[in-house]
Amino acid sequence: MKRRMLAMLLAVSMLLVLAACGGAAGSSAPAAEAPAAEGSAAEGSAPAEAPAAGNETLKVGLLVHQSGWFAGVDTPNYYEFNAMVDYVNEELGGWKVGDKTYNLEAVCVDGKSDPDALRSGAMALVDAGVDFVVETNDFWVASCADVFEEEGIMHASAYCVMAPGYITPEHPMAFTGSNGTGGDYATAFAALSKYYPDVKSVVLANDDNGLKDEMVGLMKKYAEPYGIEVKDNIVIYPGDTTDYAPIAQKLVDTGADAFLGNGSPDAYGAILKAVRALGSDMVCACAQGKTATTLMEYAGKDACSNAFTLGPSTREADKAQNTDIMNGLIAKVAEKNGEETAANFDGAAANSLYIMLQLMQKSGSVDPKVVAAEWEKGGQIETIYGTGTIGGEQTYGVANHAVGSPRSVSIIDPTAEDGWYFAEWIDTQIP
Amino acid sequence: MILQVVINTLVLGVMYILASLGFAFIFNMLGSINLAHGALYMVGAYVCYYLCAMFGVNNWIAMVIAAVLLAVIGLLLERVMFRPFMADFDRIIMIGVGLMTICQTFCTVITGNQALVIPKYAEGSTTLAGVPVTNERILTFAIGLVLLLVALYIVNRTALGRQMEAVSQDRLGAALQGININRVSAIICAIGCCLAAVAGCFMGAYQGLSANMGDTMNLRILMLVMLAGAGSMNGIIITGAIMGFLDSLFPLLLQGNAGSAVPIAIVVILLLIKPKGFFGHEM
Amino acid sequence: MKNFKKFLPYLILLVVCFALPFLFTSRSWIQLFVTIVINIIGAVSLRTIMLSGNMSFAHGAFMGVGAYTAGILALKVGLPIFITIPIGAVAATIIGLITGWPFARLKSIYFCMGTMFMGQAIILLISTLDIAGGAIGLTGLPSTGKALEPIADALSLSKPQVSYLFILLVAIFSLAVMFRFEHSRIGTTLRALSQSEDVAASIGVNPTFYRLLAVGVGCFFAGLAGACSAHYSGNLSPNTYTMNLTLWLIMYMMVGGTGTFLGPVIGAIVVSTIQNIANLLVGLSGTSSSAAFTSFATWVGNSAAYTPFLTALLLLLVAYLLPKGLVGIPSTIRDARAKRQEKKEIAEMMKGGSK
Repeated sequence: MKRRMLAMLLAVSMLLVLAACGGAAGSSAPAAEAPAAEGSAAEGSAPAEAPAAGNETLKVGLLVHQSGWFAGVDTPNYYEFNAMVDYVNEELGGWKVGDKTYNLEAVCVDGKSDPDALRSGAMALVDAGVDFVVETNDFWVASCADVFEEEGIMHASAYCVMAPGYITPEHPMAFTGSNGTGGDYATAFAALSKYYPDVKSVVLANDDNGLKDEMVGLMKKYAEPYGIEVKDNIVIYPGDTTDYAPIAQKLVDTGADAFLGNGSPDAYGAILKAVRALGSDMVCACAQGKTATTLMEYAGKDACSNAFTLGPSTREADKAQNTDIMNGLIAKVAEKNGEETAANFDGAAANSLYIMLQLMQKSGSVDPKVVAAEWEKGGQIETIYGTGTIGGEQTYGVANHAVGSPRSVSIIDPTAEDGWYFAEWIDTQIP
Repeated sequence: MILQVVINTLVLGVMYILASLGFAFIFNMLGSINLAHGALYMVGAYVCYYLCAMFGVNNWIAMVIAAVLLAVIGLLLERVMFRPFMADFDRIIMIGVGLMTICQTFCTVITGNQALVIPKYAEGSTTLAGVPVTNERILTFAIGLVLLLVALYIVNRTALGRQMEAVSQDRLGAALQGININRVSAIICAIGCCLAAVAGCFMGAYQGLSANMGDTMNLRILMLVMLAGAGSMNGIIITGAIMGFLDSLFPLLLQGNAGSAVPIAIVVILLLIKPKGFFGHEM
Repeated sequence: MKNFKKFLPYLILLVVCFALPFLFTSRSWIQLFVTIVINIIGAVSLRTIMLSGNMSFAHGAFMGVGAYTAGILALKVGLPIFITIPIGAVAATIIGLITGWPFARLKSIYFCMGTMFMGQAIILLISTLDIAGGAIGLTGLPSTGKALEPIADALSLSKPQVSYLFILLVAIFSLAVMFRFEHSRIGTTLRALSQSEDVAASIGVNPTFYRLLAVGVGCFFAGLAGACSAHYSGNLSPNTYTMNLTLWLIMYMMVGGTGTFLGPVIGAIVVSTIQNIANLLVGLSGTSSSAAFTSFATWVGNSAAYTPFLTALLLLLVAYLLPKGLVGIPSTIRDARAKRQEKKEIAEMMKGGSK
């Protein structure tokens, strides 16, 4: 009995020690109404070269998976979001909103590739007094959007697969800065009709994310203007596929001229490789903002022909094509996380944050409600890829909650230098 | 299509067998479930990749170095994990999960957003009975087959194999017969981890590396070895073919997650029909 | 008096549990408490199955079955949560018994691994069902906070507080039932079964029946925990109920110690806290007045990718140093001390002898 009692006391004392960790922090009321600019300025977190000590701090949150199986997809978001924050603080000397200048402070949490942990991360951000959050793919965040909605926190998904239940009339503070799958399909079809005029039919290859019908509907809608047929028998593969040869067989059997890959790059890279191994020469359109080099690594050089991606070019020679801020971000990522990481620059999370910052400047306020109202006004806006257009009424059923920004087309061509070349920026609208 | 399925079955089956040989060695001889086997397979691939990418080592040499390194890790693991906790299922599972978490977290952190692929071991493709197959897959098949035969030879025909059999049947009895059981189990662990590394290196070249490549493979390994049954090395050939067949047929017939759910369900049913695996004995 | 002393620690623990949401009112804390309580139910119910000597590796999947049944009934049929939660638990029991019947044929390691595959298959099959929202899951389930709003208003509590209290009550009920179960004759029989099935069978115990009984009780409470967590967070996703959940439930139980009823409880508290420490610190930084703490918390949040190292370290430490788990710390220390004492005595005796 004594043993059990001791154990019990141990448990209680552990709880108390834990509580002591929080100290004074826990007992006070939730931080919802605390203004965003409040809190500690310039202590440790502010960089050495931060100018104008009088700058106030604006907390911006990042809700992504830093560990678990989805971390591989979310790591670029983590790097690029922090690069954007550093860029604003160090290169621009803070961000001017109205008559105040703010230094940004990144508050990151970990979703652990688990919806419940993601929810606890969302709550942590709310408690930390963050008013603007950039979050991971919308199919994850649909489950915890209500946490932000309750407190009126503006949250924007870095990449939108158009999951139902994310941008809805019930979620007035949910936005996205990305073109999403729909926008990427649209760009991919535009590029297909321009650079591969022989392609008459397309089939989709995607991992199983539960959105089969939605994806086919979107594809049909966007393919129509170009007169490209979309096959009904799309290929959906399980997330834990060990061998992509059967998947490739299925793709080839559909008889389509091209396949559209959207999912994780290692999967469609492996599919491309397996398709080429079957002797098929069908065009591979990677409807995602991954760089050409990423695809070429995964698929292998000799499988890489007749393919393109929508990723930006990070090559020195192409930098004149990019916006200044994008080049600045690439340099920042290279400085903080290494050249190889910068070479695979995607920019999704950085773009969402940049759009939010622009809108703060436009509206002259750091109140999320005001900034959200500014977003809903629509019109043109600068993105890190170029000038974008606010829209999305037909796609999401909610007016002006998305931004269509230009997408770059990188064509993989064995005859070009390094095996690929940068083609052009295609402006994409989200209707 | 049938021919395609047959070829995929053979290639995939041998890949699975290659990955699970090491696990089967440790499981059959020491009776320990090593949940970190998938993680070791991944670590082998990562070691090989970084040797190629950072030091410009030839991929074959890198594979050999990775295999040797993993064999050393295997010796170490035998000393700190399998030997002290041989009979303690709980502890082995706990250490396995701990080890797996450490390896995966480490690899997640160092991978970042880069595309990591080991340079190919073979280029080009060959047409077999009208079906094009890449040389890479043929090579994986051939090497897997050779390693499998060597493993079976060791188990069935050599003195070491007889010692292993003795140890797996009765440790105390084997020790009384003058077999150095610690030496035998050290060799088993070294070979097991070494084979995991070789499998990882081939899969890393075939499909690229990710921090979770071990997870899916771990499940396949467990299914394969359980179907074969405890103590049966020869049975792995047949269950490997079964698993390869299921995993190359059902993704072709079914859409989405059903393509991997049905094979697992079939394995469960097979296991219920044969409660000790096809060729196994009771644990 | 003796009885009172016996129950005093439990009473203290109970009071502490009820007081927690009033001492720590912020969302992050309450989220952590709810996570811990649900993990406690999961880990303790897993141990109930394990009493018979068979370790189930499908427990996370049974939580998933409970959660999905409750969630689909609430969302598609519109039943109130007080009906769907018990139905979810019953559904998990039924699935547990249906699958447990053939699985009674499997022994030791085959049982473990067989259940592991079955759990994986169940979750993958659920993720192919259209009614369950496919791989993306369902959102917008009626939440416990909303259902309990009248009570919350009457007692002037916040929604998270009242949800926590509700789940705590469920947990206390579950733990009480499982404690009684373990300390009844059935529990003793199960333990006898785990020692030696043949001996138990020879004195007229039906092994299959008792094993199934344990599986039924364990799955019922797993389903209950799953249903509660689904209604608390308001969403269902196959990503929640993967192998990882099962493995971590097993780890909670093993870290705490499988030998006692209290083991899984303590294991769940300690391990879940470490797993969620990064998010908790970030949440606390908002109201902290100390600048050093704020920057520390932000740093922890930014390097959250490394937190799994902490849990792994804990696992390894417990595996190597604490053979009886965390609850066994006092007895482990006592044993070590006794051994040292013994050694000393022997050494002294030897010394005396050599003189």
